[in-house]
Amino acid sequence: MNARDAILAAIADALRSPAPTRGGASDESASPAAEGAESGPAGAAELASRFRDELALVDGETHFVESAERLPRAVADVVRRLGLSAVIAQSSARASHAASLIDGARIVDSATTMRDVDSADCSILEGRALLADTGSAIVVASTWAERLLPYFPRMCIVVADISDLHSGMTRDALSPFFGPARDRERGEAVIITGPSRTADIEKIIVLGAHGPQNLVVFITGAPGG
Amino acid sequence: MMRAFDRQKVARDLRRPHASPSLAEGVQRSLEHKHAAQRQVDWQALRRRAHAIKAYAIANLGELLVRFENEFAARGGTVLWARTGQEAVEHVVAICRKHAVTSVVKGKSMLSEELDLCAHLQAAGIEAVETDLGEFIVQLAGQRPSHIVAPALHLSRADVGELFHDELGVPFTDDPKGLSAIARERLRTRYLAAGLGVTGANFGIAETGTIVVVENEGNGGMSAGTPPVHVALMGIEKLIPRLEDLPVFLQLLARAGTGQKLTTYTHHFLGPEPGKAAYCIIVDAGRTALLADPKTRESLYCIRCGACLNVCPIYRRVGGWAYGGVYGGPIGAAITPPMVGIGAAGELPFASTLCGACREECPVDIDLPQQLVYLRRRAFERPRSGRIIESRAMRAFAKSMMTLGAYRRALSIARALAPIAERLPWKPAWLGAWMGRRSAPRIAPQTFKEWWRQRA
Repeated sequence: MNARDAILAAIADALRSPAPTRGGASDESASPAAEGAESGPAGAAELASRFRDELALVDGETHFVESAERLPRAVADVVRRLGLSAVIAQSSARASHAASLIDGARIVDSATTMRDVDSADCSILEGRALLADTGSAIVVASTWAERLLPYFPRMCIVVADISDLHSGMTRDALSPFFGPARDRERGEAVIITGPSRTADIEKIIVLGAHGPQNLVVFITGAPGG
Repeated sequence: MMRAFDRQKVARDLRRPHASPSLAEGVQRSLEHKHAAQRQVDWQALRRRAHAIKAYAIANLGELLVRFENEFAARGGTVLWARTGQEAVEHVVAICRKHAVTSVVKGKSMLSEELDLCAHLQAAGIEAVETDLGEFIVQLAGQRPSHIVAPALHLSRADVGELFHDELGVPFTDDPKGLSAIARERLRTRYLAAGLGVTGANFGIAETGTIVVVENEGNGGMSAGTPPVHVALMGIEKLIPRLEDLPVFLQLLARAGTGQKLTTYTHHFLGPEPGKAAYCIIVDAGRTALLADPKTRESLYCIRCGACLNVCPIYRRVGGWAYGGVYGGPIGAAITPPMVGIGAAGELPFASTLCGACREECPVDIDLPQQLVYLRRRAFERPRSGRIIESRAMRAFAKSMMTLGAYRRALSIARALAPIAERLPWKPAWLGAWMGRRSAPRIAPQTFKEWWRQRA
């Protein structure tokens, strides 16, 4: 009997004796994920400020930009202010648009090499959804180079629109995280909540453990942007 | 191939003051963050739901594993099965050989600790380096992790500074930021050189055949994404049925483990991109033994958050190594004996005050105290030397408690013998071992009733 069959047989055999039950029906998992209240236009300002506050708590930074047209200038200003010279962006329309005013910015394509990724000091990613309750951004990467962009450069910029903002882990909010799995896409979806961190030495928080030391999220169309 | 439980080593560790102040302070800080983060959600409702989902997953484990296997394969991955740790290691070595891999980077994974994977890869001539900072530190020190979530919690910053100075040849610093930067620089070159990356799996989603890994440093994403081959090690119990079950656990895991609302990175590995390869090794290694006994089955619901360790008065005093196996604290005491055999680790369930704090803190509501009591009974029932004397003594004790007359007679005998026993220069072996570490309770020279009568 091979390992697979042996394990499955052992499981079947083990489960012949039912476990003692206590509380809760065992088929509770058939019920849907908890739904949070979605915000309408009136809630956008509150969500945006909650997102900013939550991201600040995990050492990230939020910039509000009035419109998508003004995004490239706003991103370029931050990149220049921080003295970043090697910028690499995801190939999505929004991320490449955000990088359009940065001199020498590279957009990931089939010619991108590991050296391009490793030598970059800033990455620009498209946030497919933002979660206000945790200050998180959902990013989807389908090529090897895009998979590495959230981790390799010292600084990570995520660009998103106010319409991508959700309160918490609702079904709508998580659809970019779950959708690629259901559609059998390859690569990785990742929820990013702040810059890379560690507390492995005496529980003292250090940013930039392996990945970025800085995370900046730009939200276009935000009230007050 | 679970690491052997070494009783003598445990005894030695218990005598060493390795449960450093940094351990106690560290777990205290985790607890404070955690309790603040718990108040932001309906904690009790979430843990009830998580318990129910896990109960369903474990009750339908065979079916869900097969579904996961089919879906993972449909995404271009390969599923391998391992009955034992030895088989799992052989799979990893075979994958390395197949892809001509000589260098491996590994993210944090408790299962890989069970397998002692890095050591076995090194023995097979394959360089293997831990990339989680805490794991990197303990690997460099030639030690084992002392905590599920924070492997180097037992070391002070000065310890780490000296270690880096000695092993990496860098100037001494005890600044955590500087130490972290040194590790970052060293490990970056290893990611680029590695032919294979190993991660664990916090959750396997049966519905989609995808794997979810949570972490804070980014090393998990880099270990999985940088090398051309990714191997995920997954215990059979890590499955959840559907994607929509995941948010329940994401909201619990980070809050329980580190007091964060969400870890910095929640990776959802969807399958290999063109030109890459992905494997998932599904490992039993003693888990079906936990499953086979309905009374220990619930411990398979564990999501390895480490919360029960942080509140355990025993763990906080003795640290993780004292448990001998890979898993310390209450969960270690509950899962290690069935996994490695009661005969080998039957003492572990006794390393508990049964105060119940572990159950209170467990985000999936595992009744750990009940399991520990049950395992104590199993440990007691197994045949071992000294059992005859012990059981006769207990029978005599029970008899003396049956009637008031017998109790009085036993008490007067004990009162007469106790002072003599204490003054004996030599005690028989088992009595000597007992009294070597304990003080016998002092017996009052007279009973309360005798004293009352005298007083009247």
